[in-house]
Amino acid sequence: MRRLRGWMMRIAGLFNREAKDRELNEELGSHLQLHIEDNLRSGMTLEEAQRQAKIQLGAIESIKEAYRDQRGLPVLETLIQDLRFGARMLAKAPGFTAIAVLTLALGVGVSTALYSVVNGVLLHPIPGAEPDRLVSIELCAYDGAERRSGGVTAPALDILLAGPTPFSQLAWWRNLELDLRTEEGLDELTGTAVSPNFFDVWGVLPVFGRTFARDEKTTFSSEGVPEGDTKIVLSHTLWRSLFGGDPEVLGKSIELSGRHFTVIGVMPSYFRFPWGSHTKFWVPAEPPRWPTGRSPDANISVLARLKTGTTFQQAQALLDVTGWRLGLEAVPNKTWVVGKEWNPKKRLGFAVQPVLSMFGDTDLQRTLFCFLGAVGFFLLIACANIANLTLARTEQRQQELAVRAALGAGRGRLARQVLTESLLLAGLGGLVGLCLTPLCLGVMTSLIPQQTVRIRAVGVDGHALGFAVLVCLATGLIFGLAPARHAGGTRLAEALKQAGSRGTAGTAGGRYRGKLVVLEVALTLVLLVGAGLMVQSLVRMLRLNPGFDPKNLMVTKLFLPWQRYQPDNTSNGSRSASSDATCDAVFAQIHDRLAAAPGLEGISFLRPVGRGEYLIEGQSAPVELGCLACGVGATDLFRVQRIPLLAGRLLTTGDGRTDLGGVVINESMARHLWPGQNAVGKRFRSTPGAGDSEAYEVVGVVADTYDRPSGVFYVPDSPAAHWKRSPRYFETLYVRTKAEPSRFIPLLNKEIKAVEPSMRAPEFGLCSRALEESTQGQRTYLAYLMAFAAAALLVSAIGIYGVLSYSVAQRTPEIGIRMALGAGRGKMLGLVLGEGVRLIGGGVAVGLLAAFWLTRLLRSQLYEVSPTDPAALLCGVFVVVGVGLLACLAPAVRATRIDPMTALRQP
Amino acid sequence: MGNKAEVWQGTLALMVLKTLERTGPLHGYGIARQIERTSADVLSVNYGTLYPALLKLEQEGYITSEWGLSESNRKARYYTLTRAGRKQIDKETQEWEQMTAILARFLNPKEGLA
Repeated sequence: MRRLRGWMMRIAGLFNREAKDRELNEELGSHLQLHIEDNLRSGMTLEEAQRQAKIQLGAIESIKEAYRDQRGLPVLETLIQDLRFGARMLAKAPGFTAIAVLTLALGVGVSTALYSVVNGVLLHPIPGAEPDRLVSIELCAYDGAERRSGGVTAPALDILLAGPTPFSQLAWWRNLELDLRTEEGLDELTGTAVSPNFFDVWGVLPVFGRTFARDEKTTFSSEGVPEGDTKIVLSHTLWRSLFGGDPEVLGKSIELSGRHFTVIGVMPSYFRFPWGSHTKFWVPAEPPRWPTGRSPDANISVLARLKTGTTFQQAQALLDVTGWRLGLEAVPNKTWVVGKEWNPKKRLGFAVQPVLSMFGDTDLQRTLFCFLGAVGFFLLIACANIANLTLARTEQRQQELAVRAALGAGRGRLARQVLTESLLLAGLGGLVGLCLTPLCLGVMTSLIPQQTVRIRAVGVDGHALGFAVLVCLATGLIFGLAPARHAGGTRLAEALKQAGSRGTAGTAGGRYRGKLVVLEVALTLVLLVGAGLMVQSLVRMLRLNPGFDPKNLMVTKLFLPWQRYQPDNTSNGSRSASSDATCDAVFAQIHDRLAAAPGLEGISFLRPVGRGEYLIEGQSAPVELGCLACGVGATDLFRVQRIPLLAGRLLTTGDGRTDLGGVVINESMARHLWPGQNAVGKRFRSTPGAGDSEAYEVVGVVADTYDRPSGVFYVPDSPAAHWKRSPRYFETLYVRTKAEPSRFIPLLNKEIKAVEPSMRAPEFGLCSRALEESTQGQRTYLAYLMAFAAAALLVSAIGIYGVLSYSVAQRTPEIGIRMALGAGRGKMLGLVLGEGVRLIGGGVAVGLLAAFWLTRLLRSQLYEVSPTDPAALLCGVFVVVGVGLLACLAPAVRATRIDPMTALRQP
Repeated sequence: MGNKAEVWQGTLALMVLKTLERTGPLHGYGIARQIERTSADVLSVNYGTLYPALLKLEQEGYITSEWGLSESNRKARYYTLTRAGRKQIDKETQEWEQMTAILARFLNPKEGLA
């Protein structure tokens, strides 16, 4: 307690120092006077009295010093002193300070922005307290291996809601698609049906308005349309597109799928859950009812918060008990392998997992961390540079440091002073960098893909600031330690003896600086090689053969309103055979009309059939394959898409036999299942127990297409394929036009509308644009990477130039002597260039080794490029050597211009 | 004047406090003189070392100071003991007595090292 008071008084002693110094002087003066009086009284002469008093008091200056040390906090005072001195020194060298601050600011600004993005999207994606107590619940089957279904079914949800559960809050959501009527027709919007407490569990507030109250839920028909009018919360993007960003949107109503929804709130633009930016709205709902007699879909996702004090394991154990109540009605449909019947020996249960696992996006993760690495390299290079320059300046201050040492400063004190200056520089760089960060942040957030799931805003928060401070400190220490050590090692006698700043003390520093330049060059080389590899990878990706010819090709998805085809007496929401038949007829009509339209080269279609397990003839292990039904004959898919045929023949309608269907497979499937053999003629069948077992024979092999998975085979769209196909009301349509495709869109829409007017207007997309868009993110990212590599190159060049310039300046007398003794200018040029080449060479050697070692980390990012690709390495070396030599040129030329007479006379 | 032993830093504080307890408020020179006298001239205090020690005691709150006039009408800074100071004297006295008692047993081996 007393000691605390003591420390507080010492802090107070930092202020008002002059007044206190005056008081001390007075006190000491009065002390002397009193003593003198006493001495006089005891009979000494005035002179003797004064002398004795002074001797007894002791050395006044050291008393004052001891007093001052006790009064304030010497550490703090020396720190402030060093800071002020450092600031003055930096102000005296504006060029150096400006360059150093700018490079540091760039490094700190960008890395902090990057870290903010990483933090907001990957590390701490969930705001609020205790995000690790949020869990998601799904159904899983125990059947030897555990298989999870990613969601729960409606009956399972009922069991969960009935409780008891180890959760303090439970929310659920489900995909919901509603139609918005626009001038062009029906637009399909993706949204989510949620329990009213959905937003409360996440803890996110809307930008304006409110979220749902407990009682604001509606029931949904099994087609997924709400049965009454209800409230809705809009996403930011939908609000902008529908209402133009009008803040007076609350209370307005919009019509979707025939129902009216009152807008009660708008979510912030960063809330993109659960489908990234595609989630357009949220509607409060009752827990869904599934009609009995049909296997439910496990399409409900559940989110819960653990009660305080409950651990993960306890929650799982309790849910295991709850899981026993799951009956057969809760068994999900289509969850596991299609065609396999539900085995009563399987047990159904619940599984929990932390919700954080939903937020990982490994692609984004890799990209961001890679970028962070690049920025880290840049910072290291900048540090090496600044260290170099600071070392040079420290050498110039040898005399000043020697004087300080002579006056009593210890090595630690000298080192501390130089280090403080470096930290000050780093701090300045950091401050300027933080000003840059908001700018960089805007640019960085554009790197986040649209479909990334996000909940919170990405901004500079406490974590990011902490990171920035850490980076500043680290860089300051990195480039400050070497000069500080050098300053501390000042040898008094030699330094004071020197006439000027040349002499032996220079060589030790010079070697050190040489090493720093080698390091810089090496780092730059690694960075350049990394960037080169990424460029190559991207070029390969862009030139990627899509497997088909995207020119003038459009694709769209057609959804028929199958509900309208129901005969009136079937109201259970299931599709009936008659509605399926109507769908087929409507599609056939559409195809006929489109085929007859002018200006089209061809149309075709693709309908998913489903995935299942199949047994390959001659192989024992079943494989999972998907099946696609495609158009044949006049609407042959491969002809319209121009997918090359590699072996065998294309499909005909005759291949749709029930006993042995003919199929076409793609290249990678052929390679995978029958490596090294001709796949034509091979057979496989569906696994027994899936109803009728179908047998297939491969009749042809086509090239892979980039957007279809590899384990997929094509069957002709025929009645045989029909019965398995689901859903029947959906197909993907391809249209190849003879000229510019977008002109034909109104015509196509007209034809389609003529057949089925109440269908949603299909959105036609250009295949070429889709291809471009898939690489958009990569290209942006690459642009930034190249920018950084270029900046790093510049900084390195400045480093080389700086060191060589300094070296020439140092060696001017030596060069003068050499020239006076007869060496030609050419030889001097060679001397300096030789030094430069040695440095660059050393850097390249170290850099190549490091590149071999480090680029392996990039392997996951590279597409068809080996991490030790020679082209990238050679290119990098070439650029570094070229730029390095250029940087050497100026100092070398300067060396040749040295006039021996002035050089020798130089002090 | 003459060879007097140097004084330990920590004990100086206790000596100052004890002196102030005996004499009442006193200025720096007076305290130094008193300490010299009390130690029967064995200790020689380099008077200057007193001032940082006085400052420390003041920072920790055991003494207070204010400017006043000496007998010879000279301006001087007078130090007074506080209540906390008195308590500290008691505490430290106790500690010292304990320590000397323990040491005494070592230094007088006749008194039972059993």
